[in-house]
Amino acid sequence: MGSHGAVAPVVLKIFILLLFSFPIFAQQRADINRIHYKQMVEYYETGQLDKALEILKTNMNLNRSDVSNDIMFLAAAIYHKSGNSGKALSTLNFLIKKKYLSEHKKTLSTYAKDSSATNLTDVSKGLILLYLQKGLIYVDILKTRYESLGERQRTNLTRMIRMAVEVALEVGYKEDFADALLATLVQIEQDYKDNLVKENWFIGFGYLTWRDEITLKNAAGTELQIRTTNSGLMVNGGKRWANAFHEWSLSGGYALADATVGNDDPNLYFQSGVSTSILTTSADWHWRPNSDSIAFGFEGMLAFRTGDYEAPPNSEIEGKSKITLGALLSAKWRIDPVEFQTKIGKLLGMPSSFVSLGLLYHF
Amino acid sequence: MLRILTFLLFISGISQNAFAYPQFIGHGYTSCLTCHYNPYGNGPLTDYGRALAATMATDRAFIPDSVTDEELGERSGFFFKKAESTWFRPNIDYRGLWYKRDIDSETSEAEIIHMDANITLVGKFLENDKLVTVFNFGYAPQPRGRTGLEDEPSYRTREHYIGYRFTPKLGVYVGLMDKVFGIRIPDHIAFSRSTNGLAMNDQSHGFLVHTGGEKWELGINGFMGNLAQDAQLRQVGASAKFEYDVASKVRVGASVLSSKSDFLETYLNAFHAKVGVGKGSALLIELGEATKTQVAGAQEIKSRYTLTQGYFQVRRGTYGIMNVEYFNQNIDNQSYVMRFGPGIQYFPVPRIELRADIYNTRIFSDSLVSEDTWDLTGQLHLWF
Repeated sequence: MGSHGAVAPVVLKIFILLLFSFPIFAQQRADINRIHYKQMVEYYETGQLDKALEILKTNMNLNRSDVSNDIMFLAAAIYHKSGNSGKALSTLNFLIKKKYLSEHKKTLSTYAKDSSATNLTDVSKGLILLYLQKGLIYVDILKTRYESLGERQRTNLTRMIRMAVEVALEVGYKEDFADALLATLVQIEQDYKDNLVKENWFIGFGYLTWRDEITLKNAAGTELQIRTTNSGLMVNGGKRWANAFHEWSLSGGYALADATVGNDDPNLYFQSGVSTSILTTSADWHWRPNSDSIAFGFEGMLAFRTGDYEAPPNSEIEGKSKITLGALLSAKWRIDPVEFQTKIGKLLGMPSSFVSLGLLYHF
Repeated sequence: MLRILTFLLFISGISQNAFAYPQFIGHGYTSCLTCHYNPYGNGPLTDYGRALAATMATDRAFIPDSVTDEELGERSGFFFKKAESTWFRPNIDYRGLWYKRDIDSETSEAEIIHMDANITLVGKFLENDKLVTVFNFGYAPQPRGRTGLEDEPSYRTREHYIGYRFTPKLGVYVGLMDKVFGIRIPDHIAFSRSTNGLAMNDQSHGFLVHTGGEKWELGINGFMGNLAQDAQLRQVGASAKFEYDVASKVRVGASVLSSKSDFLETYLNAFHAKVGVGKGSALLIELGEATKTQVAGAQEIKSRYTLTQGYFQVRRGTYGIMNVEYFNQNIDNQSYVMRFGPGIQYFPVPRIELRADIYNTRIFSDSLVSEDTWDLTGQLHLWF
């Protein structure tokens, strides 16, 4: 998934500032073991989470009622950074119930009723802090497990993050943190959307032209290479798979064309209005450089072509039918559901280029 | 014959002096007047146009991060300076071409042509630059493949006019200008320009009335030929072009042109569409018909053409091009020419444009089969 990593450090930085600058629980700090707390903070800051966890396990009992809120908040942060999101969340939930239960219930019901935080202007800063910390954990869960989560789970987590952000913005507390959290969430959702592969069928028609080469062999066995110039109309259809960055498709097409056949000396052999046809099957890959409205890439083609070339008396024509492979450059311009496509490339055994332009309709 | 014709068309039409990029409709610019003094593009850029060329149209890969787009815009004036004068805007422009025709041919040789090197002086006066004067002079090589031009000077003016805008929606321009017709693309090699007398040396003295509303533009152009030209050869007549925005970034239009010299009567009509797609990409389509009648003998030849030019923005400053053209010189015949090929246009830093194209030309005839030709071109465009 994409580039939300650029936002995450911002979130973390703000989080650290928030963690160590806000004195909301300061009045209870007298009850804690200051040495252990300071050590855990130091280990947390320097990324030595194992050591921080060790202190937590051996020296702290989070179930004791005299454990301060600061300790619990720090414990949740350590669990979160250690990858134990479940324990981090349960610690934060415990803290919410312990200190803000009624306010929390009221906040939830008001937000559910209004679908916005407009009427939540007096939520305690301590509760907002806990919501934001939970939001940070939810963001990490979405970031790492978005595709494996069910739709309902995604909706619930997203809703909780948005509530935390909206309440913070409404109260005007930790707005930078809230903005960063929201930006990260939006990026995660966008990345998921961008990477989502959608598939659809399409049909189309267009003009195509190619040059061909056949061999005229007379009774004496003398061979004469003859060039053709073909142009006609093609119908095609196929299936496309696409995300925001790439698209690829499998398709087939059939064209009826008109050919002029001859060589440098029209007296030797010349025919115009020859009916020819070409049957193609293709696999292509296109890059979408900056939007899903344009794409360019390559197409590999397997083609079978045949023509009603008439041999002069005492001669025969070789190569009336041919199976060949080719590679084409392709560009597409799309205004949904219609797409304009041009292709130019080379088919083996055919001199010069194979060119087509046409319209596709995507279902 | 057709092969010779396509050769002459290529050689005579390959030079460019235009600086009009109608594909910028992909960036939301439907009207040329936003960036050019001439309401139909070409010629010198306005201050806004220069700033836009230096920012939106230019890659940032070679520009330090410390330099902002705003600074690039400010430095887009004459010789990297912010314009100090309120009324005077000089401009120096150069276009060079490297080309190799018919690359499969044993006799094929690469050639370099200095297509255009000119200085343009713009004066703008009155409130909101209501009055503009534009004078262009410079080197312009004699067109290839044409005889009887030995005496034609290599230094000349291709553009000089005075324009006055009575209101933002109504302006009148008088002088030597390109004729108003169809999509003014910079590729004078295109059949839509080279076969219709709308190429690099086909400017004409006359007047232009330009008007428009929020969603439409109308231009009426009366012209009397280039007064520097032999009077008998001057095409005297009028043209008109109407364009309408049917949707955001989708503009359709129609053009007519009628003119006459002592030898030739010309009547042109065309429909076109400019479609902006996505971010910075566009499709340009023009379908047209030309009727040319020899005054002596009244021989009338009607020809048809189509232009399909697709631009896709790969990244800022880089555009891929896919070109497909059709030309039937005489619709009474079954023979016609098609030309197709990819290209790339790159603006690496402000004031530099690089472009490379491949042209595959194919002749369709009911009386002969001829080889395709493959031509390569590379262009360097500088402006200061």
